[in-house]
Amino acid sequence: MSADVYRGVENREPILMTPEAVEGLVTLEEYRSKGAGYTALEKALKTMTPEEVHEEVKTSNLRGRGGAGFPAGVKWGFAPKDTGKPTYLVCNGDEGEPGTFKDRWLLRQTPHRLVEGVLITSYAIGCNQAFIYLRQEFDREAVRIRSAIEEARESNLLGKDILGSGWDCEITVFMGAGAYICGEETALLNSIEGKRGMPRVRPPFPAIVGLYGCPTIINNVETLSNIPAIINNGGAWYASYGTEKSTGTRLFSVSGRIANPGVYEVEMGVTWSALLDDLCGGPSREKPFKALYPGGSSTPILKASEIDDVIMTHEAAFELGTFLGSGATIVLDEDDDIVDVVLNLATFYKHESCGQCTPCREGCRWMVEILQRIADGLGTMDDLDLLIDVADHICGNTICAFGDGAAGPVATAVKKFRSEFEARVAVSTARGSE
Amino acid sequence: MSGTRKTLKAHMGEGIAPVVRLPESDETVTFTIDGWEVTAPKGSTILQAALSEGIEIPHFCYHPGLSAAGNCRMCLVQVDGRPKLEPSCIIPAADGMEIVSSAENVTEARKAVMEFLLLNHPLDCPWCDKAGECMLQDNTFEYSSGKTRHRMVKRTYPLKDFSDRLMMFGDRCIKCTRCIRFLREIEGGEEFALYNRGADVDVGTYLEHNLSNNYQGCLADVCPVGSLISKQFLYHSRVFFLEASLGICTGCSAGCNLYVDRYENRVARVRPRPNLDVNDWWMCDIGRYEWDTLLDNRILSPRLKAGEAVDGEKALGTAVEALKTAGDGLAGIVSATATCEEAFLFDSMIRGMGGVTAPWYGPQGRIDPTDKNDFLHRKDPNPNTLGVESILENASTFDDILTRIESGSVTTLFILGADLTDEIAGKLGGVAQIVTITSSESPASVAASLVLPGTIPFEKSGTFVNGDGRLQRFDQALQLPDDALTEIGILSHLITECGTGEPCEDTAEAFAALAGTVTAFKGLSFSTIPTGGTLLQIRGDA
Repeated sequence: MSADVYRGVENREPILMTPEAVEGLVTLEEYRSKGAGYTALEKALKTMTPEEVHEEVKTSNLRGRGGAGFPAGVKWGFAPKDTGKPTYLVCNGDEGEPGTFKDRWLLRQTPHRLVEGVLITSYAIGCNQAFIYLRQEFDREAVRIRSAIEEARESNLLGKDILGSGWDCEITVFMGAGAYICGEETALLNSIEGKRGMPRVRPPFPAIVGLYGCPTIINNVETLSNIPAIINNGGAWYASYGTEKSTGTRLFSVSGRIANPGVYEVEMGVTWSALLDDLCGGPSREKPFKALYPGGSSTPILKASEIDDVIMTHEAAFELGTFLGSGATIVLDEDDDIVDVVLNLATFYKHESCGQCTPCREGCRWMVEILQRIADGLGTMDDLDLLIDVADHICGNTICAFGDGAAGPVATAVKKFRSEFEARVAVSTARGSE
Repeated sequence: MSGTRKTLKAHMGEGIAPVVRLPESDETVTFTIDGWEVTAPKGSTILQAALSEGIEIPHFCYHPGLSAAGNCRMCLVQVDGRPKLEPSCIIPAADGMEIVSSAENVTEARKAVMEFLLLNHPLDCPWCDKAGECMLQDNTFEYSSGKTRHRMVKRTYPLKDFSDRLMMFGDRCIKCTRCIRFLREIEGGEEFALYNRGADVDVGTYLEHNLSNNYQGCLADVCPVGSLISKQFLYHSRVFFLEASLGICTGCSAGCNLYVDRYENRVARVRPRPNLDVNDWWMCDIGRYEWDTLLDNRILSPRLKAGEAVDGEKALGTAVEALKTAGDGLAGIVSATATCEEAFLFDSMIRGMGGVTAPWYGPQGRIDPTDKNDFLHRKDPNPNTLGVESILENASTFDDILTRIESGSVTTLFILGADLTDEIAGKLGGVAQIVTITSSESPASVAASLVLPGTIPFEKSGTFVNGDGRLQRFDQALQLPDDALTEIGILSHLITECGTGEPCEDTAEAFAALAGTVTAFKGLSFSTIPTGGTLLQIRGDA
């Protein structure tokens, strides 16, 4: 294990899930009276240059909460200035990863905080038109965001000459149409443009050629919701949370065989046990944990034994061959059948593949075919190696990360739980010999 | 560097290597592919640079005339030792880059892509029109493992009927989106799109049988497999039995470069020959599918008025007699569909006998005002308007000649290739002798007192000057019967008999005579005109 350890600061206040936020900071009045509402925006506009705002975020080392964990401050720096074109900010609220529901919590409980984060970020990157992209199913969340935007506009927090600063910024809410792939940032841009939701080939990267061909920064709901606190308290304050490399706190959506499923904010660097046992109350069926998808269905599965004493950081997850992803922890216990779980998720990915590039389009269907016949008791031992081979041929060879998310967990599951797959194949072998 | 550089020429043969348009830049980048140094203009992608050097990197969705989609994943290469393979059609080449295209991880990824593409492919090469010129077939032979591990039911699609020209065998489609990009980026239409998602993704139109654009043949061309198929060529012949010759489309003044594919002594199809100065990689459906109207109502033997057959020698003798006795009453009309050589010999003959020549712009003698230019097709339906106009010396106009005919001062009229109209033909009653040299029946042949059979463009070689003033040559695709004469043969005979010039054995000699006389053609010779043509110093109509 690296020297990147949890620094063990006790009794820290939560950043996002404050008691007031849990109760709900839905209206502007609530956000102002109980959530320091829009003080960060005022501070940024009146006392800071965009560069200073950017600098604070860099200092905070806030990493993207959408899945890839890329440092937000570094990403902002990729957008070229003085191109003669507008720069756009797009907030990715297409929360579709199976098991993820933490952005939904933020959209419902603290819509104004997201609006404030979007405005501060727009100010930092020189954007006058931001978009909040919400998945189609988030109709109630959209109502809250839209009313937050209207309230903000009425109080001159959005629109023309915000707070008398001379700076204009608009936010447009855009609803998706139900495709998982539109959470991929470039597919999302195509979706906003009214095109088929298919990821774009990079280069060019969206920071350079993004929405409508203009420089575009795309950040997750949770990432942007952290910005007001960073501006109010400073980047160094934020960086004091968590570990040196994985700073701050993270929201985890915990589901599966767990006593108290739900959204939890944990400081980066605490152990998995602190989340799953202390906060979530351990297994739900008094059966020991068998395995977990640490960061969502597209992150490779971990055996329960692999997370003993392991801390929750991007680096520690990477060392285990997986990712914190979007923080969607799905817990399985001894009674869950890995073959069925993997088939279920593979079927989801087969259905959601955009069909653009060869390995993902053909490979996802093929993996389901193989898994289905194993599950049906028609598989062979060769199928297990074939499955790993097909998954390996998808990984790394596709246009976007969807292929890795679809195939990586399949290969990992077969490798880690091979005996369970073999047991299912043995059924067919036994049938064949009858 | 040891070993043999794998080149397209070695793999696919001369002339089949794709024509690539590299970005225009004064700066160049130099990098290596498998140790071979490649230099290309800055902004070129790795694949463009490789192909232009004749180095093969296998690919499907990349087409040199379209934007790069990066979706087939066949052209993946290793760039500077990066852990993930990168699509060479997307990544711009940079100075000092080290590209690996032949290492095991690259070949394994290619085998994987081939296996994925063939999972649901019907492998129906024996009855597929594309077999023999199919990228999937070529790359399968070259890059696949030759085995499949798939043992489930293949995905199938119904046949699609887009129009009278185009149909689709969806089972063969590899979803490369070339057809979609062609319509959006080149033709300008949006008829084609991807439908559905994932493994069920499908290419096509929203409504059946509603495709009506003028570039449907190009959709079959850009299809790298046998999915989009030209109905005109469906089950016509195996492409590996076809022999190609270089042609120029005669459908309009654009002068699109062609391959004329023949089977035995018949034209099986025509298809565009890439020329970045003229038609890029494309041609329109008028040129591609309406060439067979040239074969309608052919005139295959000489005849006198009243359908009275006459043998060739006697017919030529009659024509010579007409020329010699014409005197002041001689006039000539040459169609702008005639080749430069024909127009030159015809004009020399008429002027040598004291007559005057005027051009005729067929088919209706004028340009249809309702027709319009699209990105290739031009309003002017004549392949050689500028050529004929620059060759005719002291030319008259057709209207002048018509006025003289109506006043009775034309006694002998020679017509080369022009069809005329019924109305004009009706005014020729006062002309004693009308000699028409033409390949098919028209008002001009009906009115003639002597008809000499001409050839269609496939049956001869020659040159045309397109609407941009570009001189382009074409070769003879079809053999004529032994005793048949081309227009050049006929005109050469008449000139010799009348004693107004030297005989010309063939097109090259006629061109030499032309180049010796007409300023715009000075210094050129037929055999050295570049395949891509050469711009003449004459006005263009563009």
